[in-house]
Amino acid sequence: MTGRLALPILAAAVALAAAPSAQAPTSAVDSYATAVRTYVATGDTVKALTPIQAWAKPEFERAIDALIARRDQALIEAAAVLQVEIAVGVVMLSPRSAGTHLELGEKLIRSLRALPGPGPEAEFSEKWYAVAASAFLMVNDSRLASSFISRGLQLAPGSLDLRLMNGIVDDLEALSLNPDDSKTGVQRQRIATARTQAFLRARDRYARLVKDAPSFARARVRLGRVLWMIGQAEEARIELLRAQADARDPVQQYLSAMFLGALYEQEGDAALARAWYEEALSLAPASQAATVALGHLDVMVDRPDRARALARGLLSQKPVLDEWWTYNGGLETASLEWLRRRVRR
Amino acid sequence: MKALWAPSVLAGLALVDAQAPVFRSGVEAVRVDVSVMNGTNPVPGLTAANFVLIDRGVPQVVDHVSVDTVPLSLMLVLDTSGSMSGERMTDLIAATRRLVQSLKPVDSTALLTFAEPAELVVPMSRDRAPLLAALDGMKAAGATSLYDGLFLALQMRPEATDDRPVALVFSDGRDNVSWLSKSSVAEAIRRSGVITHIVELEQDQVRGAGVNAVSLILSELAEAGGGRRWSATSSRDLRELFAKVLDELRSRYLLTYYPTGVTREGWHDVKVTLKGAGGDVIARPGYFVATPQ
Repeated sequence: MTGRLALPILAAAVALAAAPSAQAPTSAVDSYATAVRTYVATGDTVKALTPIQAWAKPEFERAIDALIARRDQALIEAAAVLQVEIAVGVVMLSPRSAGTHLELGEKLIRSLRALPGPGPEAEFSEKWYAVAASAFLMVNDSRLASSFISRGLQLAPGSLDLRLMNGIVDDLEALSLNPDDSKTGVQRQRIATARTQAFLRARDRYARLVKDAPSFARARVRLGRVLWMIGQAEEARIELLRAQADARDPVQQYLSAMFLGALYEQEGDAALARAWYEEALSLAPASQAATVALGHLDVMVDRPDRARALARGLLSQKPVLDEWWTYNGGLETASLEWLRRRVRR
Repeated sequence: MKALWAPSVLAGLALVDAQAPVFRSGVEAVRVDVSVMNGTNPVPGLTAANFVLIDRGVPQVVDHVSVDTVPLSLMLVLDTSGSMSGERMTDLIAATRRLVQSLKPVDSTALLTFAEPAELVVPMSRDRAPLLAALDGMKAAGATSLYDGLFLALQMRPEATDDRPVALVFSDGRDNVSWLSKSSVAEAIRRSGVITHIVELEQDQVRGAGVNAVSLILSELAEAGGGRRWSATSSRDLRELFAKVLDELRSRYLLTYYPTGVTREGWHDVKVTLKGAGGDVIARPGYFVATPQ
């Protein structure tokens, strides 16, 4: 499972205490460095952070300033990743605390540029900012997400991942706007218009990315889904089928199969919908989303027996991460994993 | 009078499936689970003569009415997303524990939790011990996959039993990661024959979806299942609300009739009203009979 699922155990505690703890400054600095090293050595965020879970912002600031002064690139990079781990863990409970932890993390990232030598790879900054921005997408805060994307693009200009994030901001904003939530016709119309505009912005961003980088499967899959969401079914089919054919990444193959299933289901072609959902399930055999999609199709075609068998099969297994949740939830898990591997190498 | 209509499908004697009607002497028995309330109080003492039941526009004769004589198959469908951490989870566990301890020995219960993944923590059983033991293991983490979790819970309804299938859903927020849409899961609820009650712990307003919007969504799902949405403003209210849901379930009338003058397959709109008595009638909006394969 992702850090998002694991971290909230400690999240309440690390959501920044209101007042500084009684820990002496020197000891606090050492404690932070120890936490970073524990994180690097074990990959266990909870274990690393437990000794400093009562810290307030001034203690983190002091410790991070002191760590920067040591000019140890590996340690600073690891601390930056630890800060992003904390932000991801606490963002649902306290977006403000997450923002504070990310600002401290950004201080670490920027300090790397002042170090002698080649400095960090642009890819490190790119991935870090992608995860930082995505933390705010988890709580539908597109303003802060966009802010971190812009800052990341300053350090990693032209980054495909960060440009994709800009599209995802619009994409998820559109999905958060549901006209059915409105009580009046005027409100409904206003929200429907805003939703369409956000989808169109996402479509245009994804389309430019696909034009610039035709093999960028994530962008093509997202383009296909957004096209479907705005009713451009034929264009959507073309993009999704191409993504299905070209993508080497099983995650993108899975997602494009799911979206093709949904497209055909909406068109009333239950046989093709079933075929694509089954393809998705073959790519991700323990996928909850694919199981539910296929099961619901079975219910609608008067085969509740098959739906039950699917559900029972799924629920007899240990749950696994479904890439649909990642797609839909905002968190850049692939980039987070990259950062984890990088600091633990 | 508020008129939210609906029945569930069942059979007379040898029930094979709680959803599919069973034929008896060429006529299938349909069971309609009906709540009659006066405000928050159940209306007692009604008989078959008090109910007017219309199936696909055709008036039917209610064969018999029973109250609280049929065991419950209660699927607990509980939200364990990240927002449920701390006191909320403690209160939810305490409320659920009390509810389970209040069930009759003949009732069955199961526990399915949902955050992003849905997990069947304890399958349907009359043995309370595994479920009570599992409650303390519930942890809050992740996003809210209510629709997918509820859909999966519906598929786990008991077969080969004449128990009354009930889902008691608890959630503190809006679905934000399910594959299914609200309308898709509502249709699955309608077809399932499972009485669906939803207890909502109201949240602060979220961008794009005010509290009212979430409540409306949950009300729509509950109505599809012939149940109610119950609202709590604090997790401390859950124990009392769960007890009220159980009281409501215990006081529901089970109407049995043998449809005449209507074709068998497909969706049946069913309407239930009262005569010679007052109260709000809540039941499922209809039932679905699948075409034989």
